[in-house]
Amino acid sequence: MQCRFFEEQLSNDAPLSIEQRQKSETHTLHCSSCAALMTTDEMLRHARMLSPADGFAARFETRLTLWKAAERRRKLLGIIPFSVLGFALLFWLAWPYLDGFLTWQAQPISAWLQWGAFLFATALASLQASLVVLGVLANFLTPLIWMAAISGAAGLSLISSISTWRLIRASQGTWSR
Amino acid sequence: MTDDLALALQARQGSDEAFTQLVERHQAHVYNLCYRMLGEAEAAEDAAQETFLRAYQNLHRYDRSRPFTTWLLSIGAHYCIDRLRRRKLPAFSMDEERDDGTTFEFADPASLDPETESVEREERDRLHRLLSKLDATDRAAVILRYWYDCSEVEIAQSLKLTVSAVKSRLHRSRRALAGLWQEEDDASIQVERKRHAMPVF
Ligand SMILES: [Zn+2]
Repeated sequence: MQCRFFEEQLSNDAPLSIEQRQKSETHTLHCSSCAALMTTDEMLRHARMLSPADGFAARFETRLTLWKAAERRRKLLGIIPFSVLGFALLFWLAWPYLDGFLTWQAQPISAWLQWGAFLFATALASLQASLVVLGVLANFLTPLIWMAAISGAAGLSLISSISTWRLIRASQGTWSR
Repeated sequence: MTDDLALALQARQGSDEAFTQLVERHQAHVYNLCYRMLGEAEAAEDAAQETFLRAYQNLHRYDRSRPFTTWLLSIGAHYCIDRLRRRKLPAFSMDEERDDGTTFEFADPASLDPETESVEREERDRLHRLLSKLDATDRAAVILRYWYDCSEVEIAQSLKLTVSAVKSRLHRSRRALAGLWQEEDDASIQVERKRHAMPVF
């Protein structure tokens, strides 16, 4: 038997006949390279299947969740430059009209902007101040005192509303005794 | 296989549970391929996870006429080949990982005897080490052939090669493995001889 024929037999999937097997075995006794070929082939044919450590699917789920979150972030970040570009383009196209309008209405627009800024700053400051006051008071006052204070404030505002209303009526001369 | 197809179609329509079932079914196949390709438990785990992620991302490309396993193995093989080409991995250390529980082999009832087991393990390590000396694509072809019983046509499809290229790669790899095996045998015989020839004082 020749080495080439032996190799062809090895790569063939069909099982060997008894005669073929005997010939192969005799050949490997005299040919060390074919003997090595047969040994490695046998080893490979009987190689085992390895399995991952437990919890592989759970680890994959975590990886998938992370990938999905990253994908969402990536899409969002992709939208921002397009939006900025879109706005810039719109602004550039509208600039001749916008410029004319701004020159014509400069004073009222600046007054409105100042008023808006003032309102915004006041609201923000009041919100922060009340949050601080409430945070401090919450530690000192019991729920009962809270209830009494809120009721008192409501009563006071009711009285002040009525007084204002009466005062306005009196100043307009509609008050009759 | 039909179940695989049904699950793959469900997953394609957005069912993550169906895909998780596919992961559970094929984790050993994919992991084993990655381990045989990369030779490290940690790298194999990462590569197997990446293979499933790529399969998830490309579910719309899955050709239902092909077995799902073959498709997965093809993704895994390509990923490992790329990874091996990008960086040289350190030497293989097959059974070191086994003891810490990150990797284990299916029990073989035929080899319960500890001595036989140890000899077998040594030979397996040796084969695995020799396998790492093959070119990445040759290694993938050998693994698909011997561990997954893939035909030459299936290997050609999976690795995007012609059938004749697969034939010649398998032939070359078998020869290379046998040659390396023989070289190691010869080297160990030489060492033995030298040891016996040492003068005794
Ligand atoms: Zn020969």
